[in-house]
Amino acid sequence: MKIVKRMLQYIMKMEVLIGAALVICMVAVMVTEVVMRYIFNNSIIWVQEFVILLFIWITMLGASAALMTRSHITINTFGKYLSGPLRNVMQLIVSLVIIGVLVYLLLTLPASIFIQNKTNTSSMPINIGKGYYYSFPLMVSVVIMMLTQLYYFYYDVKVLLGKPCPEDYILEPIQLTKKHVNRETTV
Amino acid sequence: MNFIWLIVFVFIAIFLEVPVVFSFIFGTVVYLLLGNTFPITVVAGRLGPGLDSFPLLALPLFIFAGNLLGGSGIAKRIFNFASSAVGHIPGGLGHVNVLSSMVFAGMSGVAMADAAGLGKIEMEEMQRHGYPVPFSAAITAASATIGPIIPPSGQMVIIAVLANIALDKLFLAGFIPGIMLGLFLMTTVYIMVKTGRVQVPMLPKKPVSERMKNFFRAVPALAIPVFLIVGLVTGVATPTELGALTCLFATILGFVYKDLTWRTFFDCAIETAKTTGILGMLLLVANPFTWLMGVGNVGMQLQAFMLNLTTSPVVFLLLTNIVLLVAGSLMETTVVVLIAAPIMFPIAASYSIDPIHFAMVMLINLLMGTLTPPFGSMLFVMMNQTKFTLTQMFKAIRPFYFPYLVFLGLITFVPFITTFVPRLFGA
Repeated sequence: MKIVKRMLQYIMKMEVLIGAALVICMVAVMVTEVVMRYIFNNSIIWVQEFVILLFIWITMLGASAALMTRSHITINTFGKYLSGPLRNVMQLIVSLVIIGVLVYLLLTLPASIFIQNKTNTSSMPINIGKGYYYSFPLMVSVVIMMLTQLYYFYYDVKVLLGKPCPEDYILEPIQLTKKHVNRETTV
Repeated sequence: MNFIWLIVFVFIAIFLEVPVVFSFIFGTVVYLLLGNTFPITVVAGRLGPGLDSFPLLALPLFIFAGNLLGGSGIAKRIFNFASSAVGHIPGGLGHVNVLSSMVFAGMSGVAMADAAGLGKIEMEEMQRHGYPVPFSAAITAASATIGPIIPPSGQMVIIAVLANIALDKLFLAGFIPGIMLGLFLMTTVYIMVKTGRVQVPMLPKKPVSERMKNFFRAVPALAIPVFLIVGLVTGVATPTELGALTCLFATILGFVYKDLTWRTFFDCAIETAKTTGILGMLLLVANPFTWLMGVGNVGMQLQAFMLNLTTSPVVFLLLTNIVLLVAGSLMETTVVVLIAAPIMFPIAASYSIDPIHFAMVMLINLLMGTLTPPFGSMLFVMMNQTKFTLTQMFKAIRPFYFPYLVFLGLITFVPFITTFVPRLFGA
């Protein structure tokens, strides 16, 4: 499992680095568009479709990275009032629900990509099928999420059976500096 | 099967502590499986296009701008400027805290960056000057809620997209309520000090030279809200483009101030990608849910139900306040918005309530909810910083509920406050 953890950690590093590069690219493209419009009186027509594509990829990469660090928003209800074994059962149910949702998406997304591909983007220099535009990034994200959740499911079962687990099995978030930036996820 | 079951299934998963994004998909798929109304593949097909919205791009851009401003030393400069401007008024650093939050709110789209970033500086300074910790924690938490009211605001972007409101109009609607809330909080601090309810040291009035120095040091940072206001009012750029320009400005500012390094810059982008992943995914999964509510005419059913109950917009707004306040104190603001916006906006329309006004009512209710036990998120941010218990935190923040309620009442029943600016500038 150490190899799986290292692999997931590596995937997460790639995801957040690519995501960060796309964020910077998004800002650069939009600033260029404003400059082109006001200084050169010449708008770039493909900007809107292109930056939405970047946004979709940033979201998908960020979402699977967030699952790796278990930082998706969860409403804490009665879990903390349960005894240890019951809490472990609840954690396993949560894991199973997540896996169920991901299996559903893995099974149905290819058909959606196929259907959506019947129309194309309209303004970009290279027009691509809407399936590749909308749902392919989601498919990539779902595959990575599935790997992550199966990794956590393994430990959830171990915890439920009372078998020893390494304390650091939850993946560490990636940060380049030690300085605190903003770890809060809400707006 | 009644469409109410759709909401029930989503809530069952949320109640089991399944992450909200998976709860939404789980709820919609289970509903379709049991209800046999549409093929279950419809959910996957509806997910992808959920992010195809140009105004929604303002969300990552203003989050990035907020992270850049939080990562640089701008917060400290703003605090120093506020300190020389209002630090000598009875209540001293309490006023400085509120004014800093108001200025920072005009730059950052991230609410919690205030409580966790600028808030940390505010708390440290107040403690260094001997201010009581409960008072410091309470005013920091209360002033942090100004963040999402004064634009740019991530919450406003989400509400605007879900309720189909023009984002520039909603941004413009936030200025007066944000300033009003700031003044309400400052007045409360003043009264608390004058009536001896809280004992805080007076700060000496700083000499003009030092005040001017602090002002000029903060001028580039203060230019950001001015630039945003001018941009919104004149319409030279869309809110989304203004977000990109704010990012550029914040980056230049960070490097000029020498507070930002390439590593922190890239860290801010990493943090933005992660936050966008979490929030964007929520909006994505809400798309099939909202669509099902639409085709199921849930809005119409609830409209009919509410109009049977009361035809008075005043009663409806009162009920809205109660429901949203309770929801905001129990759940994450974004989650409440995702569920409540598609349901409540059509009902509000049937009472002829302006959607801009209703959006502000919704936002302010939810923000007050973040200050309210049992699960108000802002309370928990401050509890983490101060190591207080919930009871201690509640006692500390209690004096600020009354002005907040008065403010909420004014926003709810005087629509002019929120609709005046957007109408004036015809955005």
